[in-house]
Amino acid sequence: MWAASTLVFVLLRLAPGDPYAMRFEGLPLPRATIEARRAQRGLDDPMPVQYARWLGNIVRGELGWSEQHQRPVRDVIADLLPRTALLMGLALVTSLSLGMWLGAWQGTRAGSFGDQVATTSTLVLYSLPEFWLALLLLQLFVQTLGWLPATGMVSAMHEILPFGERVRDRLEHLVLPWLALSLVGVSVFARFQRSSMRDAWREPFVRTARAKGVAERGVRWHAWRTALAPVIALAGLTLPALVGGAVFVERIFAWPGMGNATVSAVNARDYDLVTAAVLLSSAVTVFGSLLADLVQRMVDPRVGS
Amino acid sequence: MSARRRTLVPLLALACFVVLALGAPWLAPAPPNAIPADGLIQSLPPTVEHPFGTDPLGRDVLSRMLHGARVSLSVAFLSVALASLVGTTYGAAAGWIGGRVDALCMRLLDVALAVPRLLVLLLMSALWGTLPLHTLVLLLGLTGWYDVARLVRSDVRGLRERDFVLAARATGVREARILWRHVVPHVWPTLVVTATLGVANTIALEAGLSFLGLGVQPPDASWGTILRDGQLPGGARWWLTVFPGAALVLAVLTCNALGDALRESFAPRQVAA
Repeated sequence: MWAASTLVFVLLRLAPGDPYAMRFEGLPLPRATIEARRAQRGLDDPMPVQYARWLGNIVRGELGWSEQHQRPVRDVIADLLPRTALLMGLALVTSLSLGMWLGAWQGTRAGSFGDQVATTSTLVLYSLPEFWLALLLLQLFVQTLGWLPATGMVSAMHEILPFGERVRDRLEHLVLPWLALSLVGVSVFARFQRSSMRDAWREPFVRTARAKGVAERGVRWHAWRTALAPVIALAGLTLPALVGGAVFVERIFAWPGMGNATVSAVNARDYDLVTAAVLLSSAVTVFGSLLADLVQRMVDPRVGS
Repeated sequence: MSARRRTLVPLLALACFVVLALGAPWLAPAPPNAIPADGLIQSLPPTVEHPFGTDPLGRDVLSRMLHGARVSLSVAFLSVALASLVGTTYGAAAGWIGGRVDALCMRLLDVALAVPRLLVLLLMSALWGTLPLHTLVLLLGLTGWYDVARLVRSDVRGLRERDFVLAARATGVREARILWRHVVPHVWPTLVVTATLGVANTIALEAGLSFLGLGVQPPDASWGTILRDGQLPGGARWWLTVFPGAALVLAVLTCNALGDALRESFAPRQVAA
């Protein structure tokens, strides 16, 4: 975590320009004023000094000041995070549950007609670049058919709508980004689950369980538990997306979440916001792999013993 | 489909893509950046003359797609080749030396993996301003080798203990030679599968970056930049989304299918996708 955010800290400061250069470029503002603001924020200090100050702040839990939003980074993230978590959380739950169900179903009948159809469809879905799928959905349902509202999270009149309409408004904005993320997500998880389930299905314990007279449901349950490890590991790796957001899909649907904000923060050289976003996402990366490890041990006691 | 045909079909499809890309200057009806001489600078839907329509600058989309295939495919192939080289060297060295060096190398990999790849690319393109093509290849290559390194490392660790290594050592073969001539060739199947899937991934990533305006720069055509041109204000132009997108999906699909088929034919063992 520390190393990752340090790396980003250095890279970001190596990039030409700083928050002020980006914000005031082309504005008729005296150079001296900009220089003064810069000095006030300590951006004139040598990089090691800036770094030491930044590290000290982080240790104290201070994430810094977002020059782009003119608010503390903590507040900016507090606004962005729930939006991203909502979209990504829904997409992750859908992908995980549907993907595991489909993959497990395929794994028990590998090679059958149904499996082949499903394998081909998931391969095609898996090969759809998320941003293109999003673009296609946007053009079809919004620009051509006009069934769904354009982009963003809510419509302009959201605040004055009655409660029922507001819920509907939210859902209408949510459905396309969710669909774009989930379609691809389901295929990823289904592919993993299928191959692990297929391998588990060939293990001798499946025959043993049948011979003992375990009902088919029970046999499936048995095999599935041993086939979970790779899927859990993958889910752990996906976890950082909950706080990092999906850059492409958020960008296309103008979803005001972390992914979108990170891109514009990099462009605006909003140092503190970018480093905070990286810090957050690497924290969740570490947490995700720990969690995956833990769940694997719970599901399958053979892991780690 | 038989296992053999499952490999052959995507392989042929890939060959078609390569031929189309290489033959672009002869196959394309118009130069990729040619703006019509009659001053008809507008985006038109498909006609007989322009089967895939024209973009907002009046350029022929089919020609741009053929030339874009050159850019998109060569960027993907070259950067994956670079990633494979770096990843194999790193993974083989770590796995072969083992012990503390190996542990350190793996920790470093964890750090690299903790930073989202897209963010690194974003920062790098901020660092450069506009990216020349070879820098883009370099960036994609240098951020894409982590998986290769991990897989090669775990393969090498297993191979290190095998008897043929002991035999080579007993006959006095130098360590470096054992690694490169006796161990690394066994890693080949893993490498080919990972690289094929990597090409699929990189084609999509490059298109995405170019779509955001961070990858291939205009006026150069790549599938991503054509898609980007379709987003310019002035109404929906489905032909600028559907055709380059279909080419993109087909190319990615081909590589994924080939990777899957190769994986099954090399070993029925699971390699992380």
